[in-house]
Amino acid sequence: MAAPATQQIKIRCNDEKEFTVDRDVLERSVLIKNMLEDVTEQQDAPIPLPNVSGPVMAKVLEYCTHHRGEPLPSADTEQSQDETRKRTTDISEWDQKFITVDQEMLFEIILAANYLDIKSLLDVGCKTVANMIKGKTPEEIRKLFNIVNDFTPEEEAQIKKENEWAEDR
Amino acid sequence: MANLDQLPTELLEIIFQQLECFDLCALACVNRDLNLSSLQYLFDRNRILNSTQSSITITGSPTSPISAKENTAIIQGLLLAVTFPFSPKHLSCTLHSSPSQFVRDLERLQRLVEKINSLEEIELDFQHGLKTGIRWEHTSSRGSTIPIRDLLDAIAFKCSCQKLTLLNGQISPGIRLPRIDPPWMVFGWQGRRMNNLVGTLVGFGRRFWSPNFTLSFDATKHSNLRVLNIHSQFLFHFAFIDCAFKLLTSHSIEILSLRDTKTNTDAWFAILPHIHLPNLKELYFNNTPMDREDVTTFLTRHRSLVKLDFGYFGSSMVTTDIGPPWFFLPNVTTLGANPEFLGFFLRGRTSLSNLRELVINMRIHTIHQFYFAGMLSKIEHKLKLLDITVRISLENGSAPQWLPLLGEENVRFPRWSRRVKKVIIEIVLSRFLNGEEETDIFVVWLRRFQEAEILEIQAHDEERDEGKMKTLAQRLRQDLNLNIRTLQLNDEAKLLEEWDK
Repeated sequence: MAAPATQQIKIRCNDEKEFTVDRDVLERSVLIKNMLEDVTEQQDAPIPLPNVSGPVMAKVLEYCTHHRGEPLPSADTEQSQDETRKRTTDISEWDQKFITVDQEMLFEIILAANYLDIKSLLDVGCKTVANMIKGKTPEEIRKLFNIVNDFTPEEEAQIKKENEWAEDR
Repeated sequence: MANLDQLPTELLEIIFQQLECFDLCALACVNRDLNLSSLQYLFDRNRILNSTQSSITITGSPTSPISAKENTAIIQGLLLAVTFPFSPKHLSCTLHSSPSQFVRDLERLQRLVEKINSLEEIELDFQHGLKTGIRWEHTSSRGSTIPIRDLLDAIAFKCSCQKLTLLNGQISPGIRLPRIDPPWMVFGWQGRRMNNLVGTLVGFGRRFWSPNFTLSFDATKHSNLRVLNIHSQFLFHFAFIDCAFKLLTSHSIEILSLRDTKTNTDAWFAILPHIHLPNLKELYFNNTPMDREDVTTFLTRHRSLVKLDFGYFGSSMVTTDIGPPWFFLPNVTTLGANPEFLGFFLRGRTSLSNLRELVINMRIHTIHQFYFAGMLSKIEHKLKLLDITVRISLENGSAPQWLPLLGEENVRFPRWSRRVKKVIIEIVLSRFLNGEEETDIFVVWLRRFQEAEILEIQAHDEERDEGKMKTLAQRLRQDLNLNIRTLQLNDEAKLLEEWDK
């Protein structure tokens, strides 16, 4: 017998935007997967996701749709996951294209991936940020992320002195 | 708007995982929050702090050693930390920087030591020795001369520091030496090499010392100094005596090591009667001129002594026909000297009621029958009760001179030599084991110590000769059916592995 028609799940973001998505796509999110497993009866009310906005969710769903059906990383081997994470520093071509977004969206995706518990997406996001940082000077990092330098003048002087090495490395 | 500095710590750490040490250092310079989080991660990742945060270790583990670059970045990271929420007492660091980074790393370490006020013990390990290209007077790329000794002095003289250990400091890619305790005589008296020194250094590198060199040396700052390791030809220059006086009456010093060859004898005799260290526990005298009166009065003043070692020195004392001196050293458990001095010592009216261990120090030319058997046979009944360590230096002279001395007919070992527990042999490889015949003689000779539990061969040389070490290790393993539990060839770990196979 053929598999039953794919179950459709409704979710609602914090800006009231609603999505209707195939269950297996949504289950890329361990958070939602666990929620769905806890609920036995079919519910029509959408799942509220108060930490994610509509545009970000659309992006996240794009990722989940592309990666649907891939095996989820098992949660019990934390150690080996860390190693895998360390070893595979490169990002696949599709993911790279997918994550080429403005900075605000990038951080929103990271936060959403963390909230929704989508490990692979979180990795892609964090690796992208790490790649942005690599090889940059402190000043370049500040400019890149628009971070305010809040060191006191004394601290600043100390840091400048100790950071000399990095500049002529 | 979300931004890098607003991410929760657990997300930052996922990002940090991807970054190299120097990227983390760059992040530490961005703002205060990132300073804290990136450095915390850097220290955690490299296990810089122990669980009680009392100790900083910048060495990595044997399985994942820290690279020279990481080493530099971590020292830098420690300096970049704007808040330092822990107060470690111990700092240990492996310095295996490239020649171009070495002085800078040392400078950083000096600043680090200044920054962390709580430090009491510092251990620097020059893991691969000081590489070619690093000189004591190091000229930096900018053309200015940075005296390495000043940096080491500054580290050593940090006011609250009680102990500084420098390991493996030989110039040129030499053979690695593990920590050797007691520190004296590791390299003998070759002043031009930086020795394997344990203890806060006084007079370190003073061979360059001249009256023009200002000693920024304040005895009052050293009220906690426990270990005094004097090793310098110029220590007893008269201008130095005044500040030495202050130290040599210190209540805090527990270990005193004096080794010297060309001491200004007059100055020495002037200073010796003034040495009084009420809490002295261990004394290592080597090659330090002293006459019988000096020894007697000095030891009479230092009854707190537990360990006493006179190195290879002492021959002139026995020639005096005045009777043996009288000592009362109730606390001494370990006594070391050359055979004639030991014989002299133990035959005297010496109260050594707690003596348990004897260290017999011999140079190659004293190995023949007279010294080894003759001098000690008179006290053989005493030797039966003691643990015996034999330390033999084959460092002086060349193989043709002393190889015949190792021959069967020349060395008649007394019965008690079978009871020797530990044998330490100091050799210089370039003068040693040239050819199979020499190796044969040496290996056969070693068989005399078949009851020894520990055989330690301290081979040092400026030239690294792995081939010879390997040959020796193989011969000792194959040819000697000795009851040796530990062979310490002070070279690469792989040689030891070879032995273990």
